[in-house]
This record gives sequence, structure tokens and C-alpha cells, in this order.
Amino acid sequence: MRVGLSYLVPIAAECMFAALFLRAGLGYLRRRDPLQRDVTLIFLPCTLWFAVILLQPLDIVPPLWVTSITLAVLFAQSYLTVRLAARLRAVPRWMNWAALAVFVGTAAPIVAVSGAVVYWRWTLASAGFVLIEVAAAWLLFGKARTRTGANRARLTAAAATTLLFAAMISLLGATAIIQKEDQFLAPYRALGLICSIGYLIAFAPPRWLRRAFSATTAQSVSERMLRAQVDSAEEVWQTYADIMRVQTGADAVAVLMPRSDGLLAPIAYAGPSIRTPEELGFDDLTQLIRAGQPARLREGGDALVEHYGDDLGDDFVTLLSMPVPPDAEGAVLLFNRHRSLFSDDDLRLFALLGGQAGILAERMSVVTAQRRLANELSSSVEALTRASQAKSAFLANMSHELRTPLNAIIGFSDLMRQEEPDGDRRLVPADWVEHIHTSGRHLLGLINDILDLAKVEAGRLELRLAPLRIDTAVQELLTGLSPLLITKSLTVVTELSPATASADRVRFRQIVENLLSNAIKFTPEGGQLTVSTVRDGENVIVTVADDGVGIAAEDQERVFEEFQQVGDPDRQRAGTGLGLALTKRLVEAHGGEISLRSELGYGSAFSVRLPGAVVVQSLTSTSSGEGARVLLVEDDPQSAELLQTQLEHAGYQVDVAGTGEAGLTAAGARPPDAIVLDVALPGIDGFEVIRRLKADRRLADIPVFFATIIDERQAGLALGARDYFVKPVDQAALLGALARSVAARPAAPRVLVVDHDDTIRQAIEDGLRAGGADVVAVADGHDGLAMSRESQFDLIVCDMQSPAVDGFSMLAAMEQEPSTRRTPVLGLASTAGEASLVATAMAGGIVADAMAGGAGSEKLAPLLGVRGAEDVDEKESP
Amino acid sequence: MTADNPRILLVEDEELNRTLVKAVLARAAIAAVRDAEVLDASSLGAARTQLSSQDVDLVLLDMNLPDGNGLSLASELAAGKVGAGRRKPSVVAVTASVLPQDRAAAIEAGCDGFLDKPYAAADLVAVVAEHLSKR
Repeated sequence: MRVGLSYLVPIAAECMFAALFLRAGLGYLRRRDPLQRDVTLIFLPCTLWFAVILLQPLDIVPPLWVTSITLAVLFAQSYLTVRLAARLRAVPRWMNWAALAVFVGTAAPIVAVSGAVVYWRWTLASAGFVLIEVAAAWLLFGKARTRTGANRARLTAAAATTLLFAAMISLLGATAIIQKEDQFLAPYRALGLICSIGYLIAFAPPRWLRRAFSATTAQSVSERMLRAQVDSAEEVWQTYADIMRVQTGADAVAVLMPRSDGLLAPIAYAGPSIRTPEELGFDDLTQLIRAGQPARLREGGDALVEHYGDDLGDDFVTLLSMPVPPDAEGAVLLFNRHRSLFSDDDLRLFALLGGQAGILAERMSVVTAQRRLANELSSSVEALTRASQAKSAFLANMSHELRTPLNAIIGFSDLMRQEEPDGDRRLVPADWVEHIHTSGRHLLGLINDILDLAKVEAGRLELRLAPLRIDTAVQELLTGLSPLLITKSLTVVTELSPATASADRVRFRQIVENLLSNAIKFTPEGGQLTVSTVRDGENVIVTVADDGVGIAAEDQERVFEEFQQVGDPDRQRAGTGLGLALTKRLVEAHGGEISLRSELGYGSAFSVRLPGAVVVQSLTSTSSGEGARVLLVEDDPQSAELLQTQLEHAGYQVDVAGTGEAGLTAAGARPPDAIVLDVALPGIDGFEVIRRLKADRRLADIPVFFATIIDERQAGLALGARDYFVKPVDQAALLGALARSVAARPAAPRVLVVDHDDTIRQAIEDGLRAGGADVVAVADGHDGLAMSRESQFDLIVCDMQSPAVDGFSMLAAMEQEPSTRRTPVLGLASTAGEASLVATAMAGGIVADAMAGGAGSEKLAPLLGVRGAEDVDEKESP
Repeated sequence: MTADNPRILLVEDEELNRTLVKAVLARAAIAAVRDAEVLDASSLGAARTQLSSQDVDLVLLDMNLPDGNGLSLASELAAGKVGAGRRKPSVVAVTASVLPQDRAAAIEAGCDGFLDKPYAAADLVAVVAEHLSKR
């Protein structure tokens, strides 16, 4: 019996090979995984060969064909190992074929001529086997180098075992060649055992070994996670995905976390670029996660295939549930072109590490939030400090700016006080008075600007936004500034295309006036200004350009700051230093913006962009005037001309008065249908004019409209104005208001005149017509009665004396008629006695007044003011 | 006006203020002030030229000047860089910058006195008289 203790070694080896073979074989049968099939094929030769070896000491000689097949399969092991390596990494196709060729070429002689042991055959076969096995080991080593942790250890073990297996076959060959089995038997069997252990470690590591591998992996992954320079939760997840990709050798890794709606959404991705998966949410992954096994991506749910499959084209996807403390549950997706042989065991560990990454990410988001809060705090502290400094600087500047004009005011007035008195007067140089006045005006401008700025700053600037034709508004402003333009011999080029802004007209005026006066100030004599208005989509743009000194690029931002006067310091005192700052704020308060284009020496162009307004076509057509008379009281010839033109185009007859007094006279002489009134007038101002108009019973009803640059709307309306327009006047609004007032005015009083005397009747008729009355004149009472029945009259003027007329019977008949009973009658009589008799006789109250006869047009003067029945009614009741 | 009359240099870019100062000084009750010769300069450059070409007893110095801050001229005078070899004038800062730090800066620069704008005529006369009496 040759079976001894040493016999245990091949038994152990056989057991292990058989176990590996069965395990892989069963795995393949269960999942039909080609990888498992290749593993099964590798262990088949080993298992068979050691079975044959085990038979030898028992003196059982297997049939020759069995030995031959076993040998053939054994030599095929090297080629199968290359094929396995080709499943794990890219292997050139020729290498596969070369391995197959070498195997067939070298092993065939042994198999074909089995039994006939010829040493060169064995040498050839062994050499061929070793060559292929070394190549396979080299491939596996190469793959191992790209992996880390347990993966790397197992691949390395597989490669090393492959080399040992080659050594074992070499020994086998040597035994066969030199025919001295006994010398080589022990090392040969020992190598066999070592190979079986090596393959066991590589392909089916025991639990304790796995744990050891996993511990190393866990430590290295944790270290890398913690050492990574991350600033946010997103970066933590990205780092985790990157590490996962390296650790598992997956082609791509996606990390999913639950969104607020419960669906899983990608939070990090590592791998070849795919379409942005950020917007995804998955709800059908539960099954895959539960399975915990690699599955074909094509079977992994439509959403998954749609968003990953097309781009990655990977065959396999593994989903791992990733519990993130305290209670969230994310998932990790691993994509592989092939099933990864050695990554399965660490996957759960990686998923657990994902939970740690989750904690890290949460901590990081807290840290990030804290950091952001700290930054915000420090930046708001900085902003507050800056604001406080700016405020101090503003106050210091303001103090300085206010003191400068005050110096002249106090200084010169002080000097005046010291001049020799002459009674209650002093004789002082006229220049001084001028200096004080100029400085006072400057001071007022400064204070107004400061107040406006403060209003804007405090958000208390009330804008009365209304559609405003900016082209006409700018034209009016230019007209107002023409004296300044003429003084400096400046040419103005205007390109005013119609544009309507939604703006407060007073503020708009301020904005454009500031820009225009700046342009005038900084343009040398004889220069040129270009002013344009244009519509730009929903906005309108006003541009004021000059060919003056220009503003250096570095100063262009500062010009809009308070008290920043840039450029030629000689001009420092030219303005308050607040104009542009205020202009900018006003524009911004309108929701607009101001911009500056300038080059030193080539002038500047300021552009104001304001929101446009929808133009509402006035219901009243431009011909609404229909010959109504408007009295325009305006001292500035240009403004007057502009308004007059506008009114005349609308169909009004316009009379212009240059002063308040002239206006009152004109209105008294021929009451107009409406009055358009300026406030600032030479002599009495517009407010005084309206006060006197309203005090005059004959003129009190004429609608008055203010059109002025002085924004005192409340005062104007309180004095009885129908409406108040601040220049630049919105033409459409003024015309609309005028048209409404003229239409609503009482119709001209209708007066019936009954007198047989042609001359007197004509005189009365002329007088009444001049007073604006609509007159019907007849010669006798019958006709008069007929007329009074035919239509309504406001007044009847009737000769009481003439027998041909028979005023009394006419009046008596009229008294019977309900429609004419209340019509006032003015009886004309030659003597006071008769008139009073008439008045008494007609105690019913229809005789309003009586006049001495011989009534000429001069006596009818009071009638000129008669506007309607009410006036007469008043007279009726003393 | 004799050669003995004190000489005042008024450095001020605003014509209105120059007119005012001259008018106040010309009407002063104090003869020394009234008789002083008042030169003027509207910029630092002009002031330096004036100070180099003649003796000046008192400089009334504005701060905001077209070519720089008046205090730089005060420093130059204190350091003897301007008007070398001439009589060293008193310097009075006349300015609308009246905050404590402005005043500190003026002392730092070597000003002998200051007059805040706006000033009453009597204040100006008093300051001028005070500094002229020191010469």
C-alpha cells in the first residue's frame, strides 16, 4: 500500500478544486453568467487531474482515453485563464487566438500519441503551457494594479496562483521527462495544494479573510473620504461616487438620494459623460434594490434605461440600498460592461460607507450654511460700516456745500449792515445784493436736491405715473432753456421721434433738465447738443449728448455719486454735486436706468431708459374744439406759441394774454369757453387771476386750467381750477380735459326778444349775441307766443308798451302754459311807474325786471352776463 | 499805501469770496487791516508764485482749490519749501470744512489759525488783525 500521510496533500487539493469547481458550476447554472462559466472551466482541469492522481496510489489505472482527455483539458487550463482575464479587462483579440494556437500546437502531440512518452513532446507541451499561463498571470496582475483593497488582493492572488500553477505543470513535465516520479512527487503535490489554496483565496475567500480585506478597504475608503478637500455636501457625494468607481472598478457610479417628493434623484455621478441626469426621479427601483444582485440594465426599469442606458450602453447595473442615518435611504447604482468578478463582496460595505458619506454630507451642509451665514454677517457688517462711513462723508460734504453759499449771504449782508444808514435805508452796492440773491438761490437748489434725495432714499418719493409724450415734453424743456442755449451760442440737434413713457411729469422734467443743464454747462461756447427720444421695445430712451469736455473712463462711475464732481476742478462750484446722483435715483424710482457713454475730449452722452406706456387714444378727437374759444394766459412767448398751436390744431380759437391783468380784461370783454392759465406771470400771478375770475359772477363759471412749471396742484384746485397741468404739459390730457369741460358747459342761453321797433330789437339782439346768447327776435306778441310754445327759452325780453306787441296778453297766455309759466320775462317800459305796475300785475312772478324805455345796447350791458335761468331766478328773489 | 503796509495773500478760487474778503477788509475799522495790501491767487500754483516773489505777512488759505488741497501749501510754507528766504507768513485756514478732523489736519499742516465759513465780517477782521499784530 503506497497510500501514506503524504497522500492527504493531493486529497486536500482535490477537495478544494472540486469545491471551487462545484461552486462556480452551480453559480453558472443558477445565473447563466458567462463569467461563472469561464471560472468553472478553469477548475474543471484541476479537479479532473487531481482525481486521476488520487487514483494512482490505489493502483486503479484509468483507461488511456481518460488520461488523454484529462491531459488535454489540463493543458487547456492556461488558455481558459487567458479567456477569463479577457472577461475582466480588455485583451487584444490576437492574444486570444495566439493562446489558442499555442495550446493546440503544443498539447496535441501529447494527447494524440498518449502513452508513448517522448521527452520532447512533454518539453514542448510544458513550455507552451507556461508561456500562456505567464501571459494570463501578466493580464491579471495588470488588472489588479487598477484596483484597490480586497479586489486587488484577490486579483493578485489569482495571478500569483496562475504562475504557481505554471510551475506545477513544469514539475509535472519534468517528472514525465526524466522518469523519476519519486523525487518530484512531494514538491509537485505541495504546489498543487498551494495552487488550490491560492485559487480558493482568489475566487472563494473564507469569511474571516473577507472581513480582513473589507476592514482594510473600509479604512482606506474612510480615510480618503475624510481627507478629501470638500466644501459642500455635493462635493462629499461626488467624492464618494469617485471612490466607489475606483473601488468597485465600475464603469460608472451614480448616487441617488430621496427628494422631498420621495422619488430617488441623482445627487452625484462618476463615469463617462452622460446627459444631465439632475432632473430625474425614480420610483421603480425598489425591486432592483431589494434583489441586491447585479441585473441587466435593460431589465432595470424604463426610466433607468432611458436616462443611463442609452448613454452608457452598459450591460449590467447593480443597485445597492444606501441607508443614510438617521432615517433616509438612498441608493448607489453601479454600471458595468461586464460582471465584475471580484467586487461583489465589498458592495454592502461600500453601501454602508455611503451612509457615512451621508453623515459627512449633512455635516458639510451645516458647515456650509454656517460659513455662508458668517460670510453674510460679515458682509452686512461691512456694508453697514460702509453705509455709515458714506453717511458721515455725506454729512461732512453737505455741511461744506451749505456753508459755501451761506458764507456769501452772511458776509455780504453783514457788509450791508455796516453801510451808512440813510433814514431807514442803506445805500449798498447793487453787486452785493446780486451776490446774496445768487447764493440764496444756489442754497435753495441744494436744499431741494437734498430733500429729494432723502425722499428717494427713504422710499417716500411719490411718483404720479401717467402716460407722458416725452418727445413733446423734451421739446418744451428745450424751449424753456433756449435763453441759456442762446447765451452760449449752442446748437441743438433734435431727433425726437414720438414716444410715450410712464412717468411723473414733474420728475421727468427734473431728470431731463438736469441732463440738459449739465450738457449746457460742460459744452464750450459754440458747441453742439444732440437730444433724442426714441422707442425701444417696451421702453423709451431719452439721450442728451454734448461735444464738450467728456468724462474720463475712471470717473464715469463716480459721476452718479453724491458730491462727486469730476473733471476740470475750475468748474467745481458750477453745480450742487447732487444733480446726477438725484437724476439717477429718480430714473431708478421710475424703474428705469441711466447710462453714460463718454470719452475725454469728445463729449458725453447720457441715456435715460424709462418704461414705456401704452398710448390710450383720447376719446375726444383732435377736432373736439369745434370753434370753442380758449383764452391762454401765458407770458413766455415760446410756451404760448406751443400751446396755441396745439389748441388750434384741436380746433379751438385761441386768444393769448401775456399778463394776468391782460387776461382778466380779455375774459371780461369777451368771456371765453375756457381759460388756460400759467402761474408765474409778470404782475399778478395765476393764482390771483383765478381768484379774481372766481370772484366775478360773470366769469366764475368759466373752466380754468393751469398749465405751469410750478407744481402746486392742490393750491390750484383749491382755488377752483378744473384741472392742473404741470409743464411739460401732456397735450392729450389737456385737450381731453378741455373737450370735456367745453362739452359740459351750459348751452348758450336762448333768449326770445319781442319788440316792434326794428332798431331797438336789432340793438337788443346784437347785445345779447355779443354776450353769447342764442337769440330769436320777433316783432309782435302773437309770433312771440307761438315761438315760446315751439321751443324752450331761458329768457324773454318783451316790450310792455307797444300796442302792436301786446305784451300783457302774451304774458297772460304764457302764464297759462305749464311749459312757459316759469320762464323769466324782462319787461321793457318807458317809465318806471308803468314797469312797477306791470311787476305788481304779474305778481305770479314771471316778470323779472323792468327797465326804463329807450333801451339801447349800452343799457343792456348787464344782460351780457346772463348765462341762464338760474341767474335770473336769483334776481327774482331779493 | 506805503511799503510798510502789511501784505495779505488771499488764496481762494471763488471770485465771490475774494470780492467779499476784499470788501470786508477795505471797510475794517482797524487801520492796519484796512490799509493792508490784499493780493489774491485762485490756485495753489498762483499762490506759490506770489509767495516766491514778495514778502507776505498773512496767508488766508482756502482748502478746496482747483489744483489741490490748501493744506499742502501750508505744509510747504512750514517746511520752508515755498517762499524761501522770505519773511515767513502766518497762515489762516479759511474753510467750510469745519469738522474736528479737518481742524486737526489744519494744525498738523502748520496753520496758525482758522476761520470757519460762513464767517461774520467782524470775525474775519478780528482774525486778520490778530495775526497782523504778531508780525
